[in-house]
Amino acid sequence: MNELDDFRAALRQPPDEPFAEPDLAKIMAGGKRIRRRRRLLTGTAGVAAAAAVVLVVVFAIQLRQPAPAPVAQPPSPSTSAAPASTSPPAAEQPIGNVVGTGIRTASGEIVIYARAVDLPELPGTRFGLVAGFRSGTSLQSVLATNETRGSDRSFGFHATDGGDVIGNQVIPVFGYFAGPAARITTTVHGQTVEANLAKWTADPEVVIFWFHPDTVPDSAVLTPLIAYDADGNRLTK
Amino acid sequence: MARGDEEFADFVRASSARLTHAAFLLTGDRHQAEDAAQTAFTRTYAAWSRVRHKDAYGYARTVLMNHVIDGWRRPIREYATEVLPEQQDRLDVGKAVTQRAWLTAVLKTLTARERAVVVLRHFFDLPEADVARELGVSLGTVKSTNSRALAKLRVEADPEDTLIGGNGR
Repeated sequence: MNELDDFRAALRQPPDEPFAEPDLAKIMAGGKRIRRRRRLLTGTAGVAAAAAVVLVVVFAIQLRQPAPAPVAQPPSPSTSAAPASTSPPAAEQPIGNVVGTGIRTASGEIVIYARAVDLPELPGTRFGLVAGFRSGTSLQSVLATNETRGSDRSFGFHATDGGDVIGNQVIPVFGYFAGPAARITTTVHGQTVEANLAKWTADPEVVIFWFHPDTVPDSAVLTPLIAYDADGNRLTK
Repeated sequence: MARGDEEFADFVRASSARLTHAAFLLTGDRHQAEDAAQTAFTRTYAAWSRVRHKDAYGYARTVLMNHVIDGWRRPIREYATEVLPEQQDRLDVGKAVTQRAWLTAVLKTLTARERAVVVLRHFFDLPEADVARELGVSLGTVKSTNSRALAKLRVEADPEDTLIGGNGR
């Protein structure tokens, strides 16, 4: 063996005392909390939609279902979707502005907008964000997310999601900050990365942010977000 | 327990010792290492349906590395020192306890990036190109960082771990 082999052997030598076993119950509870933020929606909405459209809402409280399989639709107990061959499907009704990301895909530009949330189990949440496609005047929701703990407008970050490939398309990491954020950053591989920001016209205290997939390609590389005010003061820990 | 959860539990059982060990090499602190592993597994569980049939281990490793690297940036930065602890000239695998103490001490002499490169390259045995991808740096940076780290540790590198024309100093 040369020295490098010795060094590698030393690196891999197990510790005197084994490390504590991870707390599986705690891991799963924490992981479920992260998943619960998600509302995966498929379907098409918009005035230009034609032909039969199946609108299926996936309510992601169903946790162990294979990812793209849509299941429940709150608050309706039924998920049955009526093929609407004669009447157009209900159009997406964004609250406030639709934020364009400038990212063009075959399905249209990726946009982010807010949509009402009305769930009895989430009394503090009146809205959530949706990432979707905009083609002409139609909007197609792809990934929706909202606050699941406490108030949706309490100071701080909310509903950060994305950074996933959904339907062969990378949906950027996005979310919103309730408070006077003028700059939002994260770090990827030690490099500071700036988020794109847009004030929400329905409530200027809410700032919608998103990271271009070129800079944050995957949620796995995301590190805790930091918000700053207009004077450069840090708003979050 | 659902099938996916059982698979995940098996995954944790199979990989926790190795990932926690890597976190320990990166942080030098048992509790931080155990917390980092717990966080990495939590985020892996959140993405389990997506990663379970792919490279779940690689995903967990990436999350772990990012979590630890991010932690390095926030607290008071630790600066590397050129002063190595007095220790034997050559490693002796028989002197396990001494060796462990030596290893912990010498890893602390490395910068954060050097430690990350050393752990990915020599603990996880990743090819240099994969280390570069994982850390988001160039292949040349990985080569030079690895060379510099090994030189600091006074470990004689293999030819493939040595920069052409020198040891990276």
